[in-house]
Amino acid sequence: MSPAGGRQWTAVLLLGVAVVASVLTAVRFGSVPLSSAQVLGALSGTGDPIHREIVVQLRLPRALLAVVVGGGLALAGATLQALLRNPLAEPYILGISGGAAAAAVLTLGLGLVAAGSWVLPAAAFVGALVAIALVFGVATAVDHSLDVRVLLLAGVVVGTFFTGVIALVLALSDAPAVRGAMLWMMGSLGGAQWRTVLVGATYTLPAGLVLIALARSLDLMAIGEETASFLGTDVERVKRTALGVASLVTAAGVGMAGVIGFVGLIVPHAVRLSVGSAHRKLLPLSFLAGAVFLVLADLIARVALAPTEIPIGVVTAFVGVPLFLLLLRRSHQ
Amino acid sequence: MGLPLSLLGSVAAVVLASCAQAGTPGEVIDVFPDSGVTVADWSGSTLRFTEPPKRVVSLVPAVTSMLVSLGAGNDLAGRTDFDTISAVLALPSVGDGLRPSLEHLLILEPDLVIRYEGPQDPSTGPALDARDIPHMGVRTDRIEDVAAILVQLGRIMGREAQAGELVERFEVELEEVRQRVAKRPAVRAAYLLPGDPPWVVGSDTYLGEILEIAGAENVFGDLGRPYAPVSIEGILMRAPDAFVVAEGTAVDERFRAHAPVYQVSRGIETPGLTLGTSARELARALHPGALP
Repeated sequence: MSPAGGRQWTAVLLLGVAVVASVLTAVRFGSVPLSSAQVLGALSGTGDPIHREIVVQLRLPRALLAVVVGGGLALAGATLQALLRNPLAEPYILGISGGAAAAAVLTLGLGLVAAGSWVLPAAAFVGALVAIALVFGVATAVDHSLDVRVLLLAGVVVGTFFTGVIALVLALSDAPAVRGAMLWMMGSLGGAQWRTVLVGATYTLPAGLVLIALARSLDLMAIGEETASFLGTDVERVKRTALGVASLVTAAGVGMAGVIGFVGLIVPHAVRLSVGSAHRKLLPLSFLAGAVFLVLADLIARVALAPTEIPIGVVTAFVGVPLFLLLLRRSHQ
Repeated sequence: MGLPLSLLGSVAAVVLASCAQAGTPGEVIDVFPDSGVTVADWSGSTLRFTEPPKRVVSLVPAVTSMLVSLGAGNDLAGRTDFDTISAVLALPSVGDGLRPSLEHLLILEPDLVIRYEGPQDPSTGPALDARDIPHMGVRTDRIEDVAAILVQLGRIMGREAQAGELVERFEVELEEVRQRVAKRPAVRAAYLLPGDPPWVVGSDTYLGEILEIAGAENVFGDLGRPYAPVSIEGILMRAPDAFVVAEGTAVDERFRAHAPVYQVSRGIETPGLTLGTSARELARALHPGALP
């Protein structure tokens, strides 16, 4: 194994350990103070039933959902930054958050949430899929070769359209629906259940493997489509596959946790600053770093002002910005 | 997964009969008058109580105040960060009333949770259902809802007589204000809520009802919606003789140039037993000298 390959595996191992450690920390601490013995008792099935409910049914699925959503968003962000050759690209750049939010707001405004707890996430997921279909439809109609500049413009246009839809629905909704919509748009992992973890993992983990399999092609695409094509990459196939998979991962994340900003933008950049741009390293490490980042951000959101929960987007921005600036400074030194 | 057995034991007195039978929101249904009381909450679900709950957590401050007024303060197990009345501040908080901490709720082992019904909180009800914790959704859209909640709480908590007295006092207080201003010409008024453009109070709202009781004619009474954002010109076109806002609400200067702006205590925007005081305060502002 080459020294570079050895370093990559060391980094994967270290971040893998960090994921496990962050999940254990998120299970150990929460808004209700429990001792280590109580948490261990709950995990082993011998503790107080209420402690078991808190640890096994609330904290553990929530931490695992943060792994899936945080990892998925970071992975999607790294992929889109390469494909669109745009450092500002993030998972929501193709209008996905707008579609999901419009569907969620419409569901709240029409009072459809009363039908069951699955309605809101399902509506957000469907809204995200509609946005993806619109963006790809517009881009393909303009240019069959799926020009990334056209795709970006289509994303902006579709996103703006959905922003208008959201504003219209909010203007026509009652105050309670507006309040509910605002809370949903802030993003939260509070709805985590074992069922949602399973659904999220079913989408995200195979998608992650597909994207990692495209790592070499993404390296070439990041240089330029012509170069990639010249070196034997089926550019159109890679673009469609990678964009489609990254969008689906994002849609699943939005459906389960609302719009959580910053993870998909900053984590890939932070990983790139640490290990370079080779996607063979960047993609798996972004997934692991995104997972650790969101698990810890959610933990802070839960405990900082307990029992009140801070919107997770506040934590990802407050913790992520200084961390990113520190990495940026160190990389320049 | 259901609630742990120990907790199930503590809530055995409450049987949630949702889906089995739908009721009219706010209704007290005495299906089994000898063995308890059955009520319909504002989601239409029915709950049967065989004995008064002893560990209640109310996520709705107006309901928390009602429980304290009924003398059931000792049956409260927790509160929210929204609560301001001193009688409950020593209780443990479960956080935000619209996004309560489930960990804190569980640890309090409630045998009844009273929550906001509606799209502002779509997740608490299903989360409590999943853990078999009885919950009752309430809405306080109209004045009649306040009275209906009080009657239900009286039956549920075994304090019917106290509830009856409070409802009577509440209704007498509102009626007295109504009578005091009845012979005076109604002031055409618009109630403004924060927003840009401002939101106005329309039809079928307790705030619209309070305006009318206090001797005002709501210029947006024909809006067809409870609340809506309306442009400044749309508001000025209705030519109200007065604007009403709660304390601390920013008011565009163009409104002040058009008609007087009356500020009332913020309590008016928390629908509960204090609405009588709010109506009195508003009537004093709109009709000086009409009330002592």
